[in-house]
Amino acid sequence: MITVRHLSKTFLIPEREPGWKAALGSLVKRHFCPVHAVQDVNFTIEPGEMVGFIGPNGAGKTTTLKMLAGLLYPSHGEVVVAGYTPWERKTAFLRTITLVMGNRGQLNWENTVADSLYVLAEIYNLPPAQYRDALEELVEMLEIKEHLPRLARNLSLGERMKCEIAAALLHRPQVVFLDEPTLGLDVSMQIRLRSFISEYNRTRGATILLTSHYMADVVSLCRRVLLIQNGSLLFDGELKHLAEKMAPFKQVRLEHGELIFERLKGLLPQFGEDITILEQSSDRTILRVRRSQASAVIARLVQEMPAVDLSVEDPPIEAVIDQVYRQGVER
Amino acid sequence: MNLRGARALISRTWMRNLSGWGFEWMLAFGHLIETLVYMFVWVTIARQKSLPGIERDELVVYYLIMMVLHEITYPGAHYSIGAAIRSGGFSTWLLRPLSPIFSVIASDLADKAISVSFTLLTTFILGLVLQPAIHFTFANLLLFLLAAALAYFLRFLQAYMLALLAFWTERADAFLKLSDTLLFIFAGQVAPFALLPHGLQVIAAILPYRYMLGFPVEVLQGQLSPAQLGQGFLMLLAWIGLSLLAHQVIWKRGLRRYSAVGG
Amino acid sequence: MSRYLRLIRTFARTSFQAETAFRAHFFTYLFNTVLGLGTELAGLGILFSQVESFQGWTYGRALILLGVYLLVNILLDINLWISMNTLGGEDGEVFQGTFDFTLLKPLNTQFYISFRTWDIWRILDLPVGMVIIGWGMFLLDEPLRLGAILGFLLMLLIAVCLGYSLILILETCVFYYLGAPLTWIFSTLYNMGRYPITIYPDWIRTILTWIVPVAFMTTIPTQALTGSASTWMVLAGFVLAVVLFMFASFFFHRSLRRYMSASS
Repeated sequence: MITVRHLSKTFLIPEREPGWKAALGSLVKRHFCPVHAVQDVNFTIEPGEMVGFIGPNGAGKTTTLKMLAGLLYPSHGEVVVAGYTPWERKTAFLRTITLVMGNRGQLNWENTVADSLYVLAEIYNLPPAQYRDALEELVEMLEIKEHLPRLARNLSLGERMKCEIAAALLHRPQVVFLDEPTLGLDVSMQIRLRSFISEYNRTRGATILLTSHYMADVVSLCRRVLLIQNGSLLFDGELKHLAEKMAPFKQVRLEHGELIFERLKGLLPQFGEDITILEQSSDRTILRVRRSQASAVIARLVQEMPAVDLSVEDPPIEAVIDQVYRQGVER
Repeated sequence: MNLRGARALISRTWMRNLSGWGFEWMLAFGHLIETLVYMFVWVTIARQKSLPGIERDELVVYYLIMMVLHEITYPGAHYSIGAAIRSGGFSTWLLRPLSPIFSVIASDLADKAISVSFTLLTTFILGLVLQPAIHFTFANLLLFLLAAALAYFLRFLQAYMLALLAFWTERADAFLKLSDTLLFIFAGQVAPFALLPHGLQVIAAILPYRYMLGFPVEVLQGQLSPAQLGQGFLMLLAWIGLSLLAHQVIWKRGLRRYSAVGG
Repeated sequence: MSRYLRLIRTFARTSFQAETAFRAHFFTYLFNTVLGLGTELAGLGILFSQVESFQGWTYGRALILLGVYLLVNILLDINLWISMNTLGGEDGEVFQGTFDFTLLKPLNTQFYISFRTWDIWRILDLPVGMVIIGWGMFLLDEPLRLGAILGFLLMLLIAVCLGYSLILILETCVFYYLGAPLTWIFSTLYNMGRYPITIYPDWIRTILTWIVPVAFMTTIPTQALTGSASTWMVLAGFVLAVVLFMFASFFFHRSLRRYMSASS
């Protein structure tokens, strides 16, 4: 559905030294500094996939997304989305895709939601029956029936977001770009939106590309992630594998009492480098154990202290991602 | 699309940050053309019929000076004040130890530096192109500077007062528009005072508008008899006095209402 | 295409239904219209208190010119002016970043930004312009010839087309200065068309005729109506309208491409 080859984008950003001499000089000749926002990115997305696009701020995610949507010309490379070259902006292409931005909306501020949706139906040239059906379906799935006769500006952020999504999906696009769709929403709204997106992907078979800084979004929706940092694609695969690769650890949590605490103090140093103590107090100890050694360590702990309350977890994904953002991905 | 009646509430700070001098120059350009058109009209009329006591050169000088004075005295205060009152941001102004009037004047003068420089430059170039004969006496120049300073103050005060009407009504814009219209007719833009039809001339002599714009220019051109000069300055000062009184009343009442309503 | 006409109808209807479109304060609107009209007429009246006519322009003829000036102004205000102004300014699409949504619509972008916002209530102002023109014609006491009316209507069309092109060119500059609404420059220059362009010195007249063709928007339509326009001027206006329109469209699309290459 989406094919990206050697995609690159370089921006020329004007730069200027401080001081008034430089300011005057810039009137005559401007200095530009090239910023390589996207460098030689390659990936392919199959129809119906739901892929997460992650990376620190300024990594090049939004730039890449814009090129996929046809909003930006690349400096180099080729992109094919649903059989079209995005930046040619052919009508048929534009009818196939949609973009939802968490921090901006397309609903008319001064008109009712229903009016805005009607105008969109006209713009996308939807036959009346299709419009009716799509509207009914979306209104039900998103529960926005009572918002329809209201002005967009009178809705709360969550309500508005739901209506924006309805507007974006009205023409039943096959490719959906979601740019931080849950930004600023409360927890229950985030959960509802996530389940909606998941259901939409399942029932409509739409290809969905999602960027988000909320790892909960990515974890619950996307099996596959593309990690972009400093303009380069550092990782393309399952999120699970990224976690295992970046943080090949398990977290072992021990709940205990004073007595065990004393015994642990003597026992833990015996594991040496296999374990790191993350937290230790009189009633709780959290250890980080190398994945390869995990079963051995756990077996020994259980053997030595059968009365202890022990649980095993993967390290929190946020910590993993934080590490990735800071240190990059080791090959 | 009407420049005179409905200026869009575009935040000047934003525009200035974005396009710097360009925006101020664009506004100044607009004010300039408004006045310039009438210069050409009257010069055309003067060419074909000799007007009572006014010649082509004098008309040109009159309008050139008026263009500069119009830009200098153009009130920039009202929109920001009205907006601050409506939005409630006015409260911060009230917390300051100085009356808001000072900060408004200060920012106005700062803005004017940019726009007036444009107008001065353009007027100078136009003067070179049109080459009118100029006779100013030193005495008239001094009197002009005095009159101009007073005119600035009067025009500023009027606009400020009208802006304060935002304390009471959302429709303060209507009063501003009305004031703009009256200024247009009576201040000497459409026609110099001497060329107004008699009935309008009488009204113009009484209303404050002429003294905000046209009068200082007439002073500079030295066409007023000493009696007329005296009368003019008297009217100017009287209107300033009246405006200050009115301002005090409006200000006090307005503050009371503003705090009662809860800003 | 009939689809585009249908879209125009949809856009007009939606704008009419928008919250701010309703003249909640009818009296304020009336007040503004009356005030504006009063100002214009007062100005004209003061001028003609001194002379019967200048350069062949009598009060009646000048009144027609004023009416045409207002009429073209209203015609542009009903749609094109406010629609294109949605791009620039602090609330504008380009600055706010919502221009992306405009680009994503399966519509010709130039068509979309030109026709999407309407101020239907301005239609109520049309009679004002027409009454002034009518009054001027009455004062002139000249017979109304069919040819003159047709020529006038053609010139009105040309005037709107020229106005559109000029506004589009200025609005396109938004892509270069990230939002600055330069369209006020058009307002200012159009202001100069209130009086016959013959009052201006040659060089200004040339600029106002061929470069920023305000003359073709006011003076020449007036001449067409009063039967004193030369055919070749009307023809020149037509050619100019086509050329300017093509240039404005070209400039717009070029600037759009540039914006899509450079925006981050």
